[in-house]
Amino acid sequence: MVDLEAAGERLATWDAGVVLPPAGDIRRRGGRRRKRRVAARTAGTLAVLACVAAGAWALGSSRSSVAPPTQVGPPGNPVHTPAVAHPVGWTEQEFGLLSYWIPPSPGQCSLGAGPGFPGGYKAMSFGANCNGLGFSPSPGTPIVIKQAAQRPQGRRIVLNTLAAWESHHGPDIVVYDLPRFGVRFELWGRVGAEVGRTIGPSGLDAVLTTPQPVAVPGGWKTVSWGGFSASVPRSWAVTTVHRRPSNVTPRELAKASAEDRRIMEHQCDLFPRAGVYRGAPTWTCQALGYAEVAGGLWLGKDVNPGPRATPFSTSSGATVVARWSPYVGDPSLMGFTVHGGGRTIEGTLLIGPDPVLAEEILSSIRVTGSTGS
Amino acid sequence: MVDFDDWYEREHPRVLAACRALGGDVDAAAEATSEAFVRAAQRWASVRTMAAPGGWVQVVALNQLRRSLHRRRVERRILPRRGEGVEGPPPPDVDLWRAVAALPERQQRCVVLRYVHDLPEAEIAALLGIARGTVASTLSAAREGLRVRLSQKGHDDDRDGEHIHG
Repeated sequence: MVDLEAAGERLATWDAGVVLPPAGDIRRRGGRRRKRRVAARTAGTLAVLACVAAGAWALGSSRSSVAPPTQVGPPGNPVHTPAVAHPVGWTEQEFGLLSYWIPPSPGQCSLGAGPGFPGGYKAMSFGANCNGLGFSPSPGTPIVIKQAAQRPQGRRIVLNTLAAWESHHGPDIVVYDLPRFGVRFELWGRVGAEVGRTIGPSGLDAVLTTPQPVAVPGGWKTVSWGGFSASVPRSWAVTTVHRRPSNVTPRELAKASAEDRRIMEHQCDLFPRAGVYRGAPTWTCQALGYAEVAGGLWLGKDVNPGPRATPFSTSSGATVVARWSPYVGDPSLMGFTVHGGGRTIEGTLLIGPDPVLAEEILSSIRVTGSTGS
Repeated sequence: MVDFDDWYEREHPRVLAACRALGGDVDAAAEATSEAFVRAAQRWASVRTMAAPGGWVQVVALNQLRRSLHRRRVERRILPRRGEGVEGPPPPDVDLWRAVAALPERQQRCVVLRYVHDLPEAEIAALLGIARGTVASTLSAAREGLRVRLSQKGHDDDRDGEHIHG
């Protein structure tokens, strides 16, 4: 009476009404994940080698010493990262002003924003099973970072010196709200819970909350804009955007053909080199895509601090309001607003590959009083 | 030599349909299916040489679907802001597949692999890591379970009908 053969055939040929993702997308996602898996395996091997080397060293220096199950501090940010206990072999991740440690095995992926994340805010998930942009975090993802609840509820706790609320604690999930950072961590399963114990202030937070004299090496220079100054590497080009709306250097222009030159003179939609960009973009220089820069500082954009902005005072009297990147899921982009001397400007710091450099730049911002450059 | 794109276009609708029939929710089924094919793409060099790559990807998708549905249930309980999933149009023989979804997990998988993917018992056994005889007995138990459940449902429907018309 139950004709499974026929029912199976009908189901196998049924159109479920879901648009098929292109095969190319699936292949690309698989390829990216394979690369991450290889990288994670390499990192894991290196971590094991480091542990073996550290163990051998410890054994040589003191035969009675026993390798501890956790370690504190670097690698990560050797200058500013506060000491947070974490399992050996884990790596530090910085998310703006927050830091946490993850095991070597999971890949990192899935920057997403969608209807599951109210306010269009960013969400990041890390884990072996991730989906692409716009998907909700997939099963097995141990960490999801979302917008914090406006009024956190639950038990007040301290996470490695940070005030937090444990909004939920169940057998499968722990939810922490950190309202100062505007961030909620949803931590799934055993790995998520272990990661949760490592959440703490990032190096950037430590710099901003602990005023200290800024050491500017001889290779640095000071740039000013809008009544503020900042120290940046001497090698960085300084571009005043509305004066020269092109990111092409005069030397490059001279080498170009006449036809290319016409295009290059207004080629400011991408700033592909680390540098300081001053002033607001204009119609001839719309400054699209500046996030491509691998490290840089933009001073003088529109003032529009985010609702979850948190002020910090620098050692030089300026007040920096750091906030999350307006770009979904990009932890390397830190928006900030600087107040001081009755003026306010907004900037963007592209943290790039060197967070220590970014921290030094941000902490060096000071009030100059002069509005000239 | 099997090309991934051709294989994907051929297998995807079937895998998705089975996930939809057993999971109900369009989003969860689509997500689980995509995830399974991403894994297949990741391991394509070995998946392509399998006797039944379609069965393998189906098992991965069903594993993913189970975790996804569990997670959604927890989320709905503790994070009420999350929206409900989209039900979508029902699959053909919806009562039958609902009954299959109510079977024990191993029986569900055997039914899907046998009747949707049309795989022989030996290949099902290899995919699920069980003996061939276990597949036969599991399928037999599944058929019996379905017979009981569907006849029970028919009985309930008749009683409902009597109640409505009575």
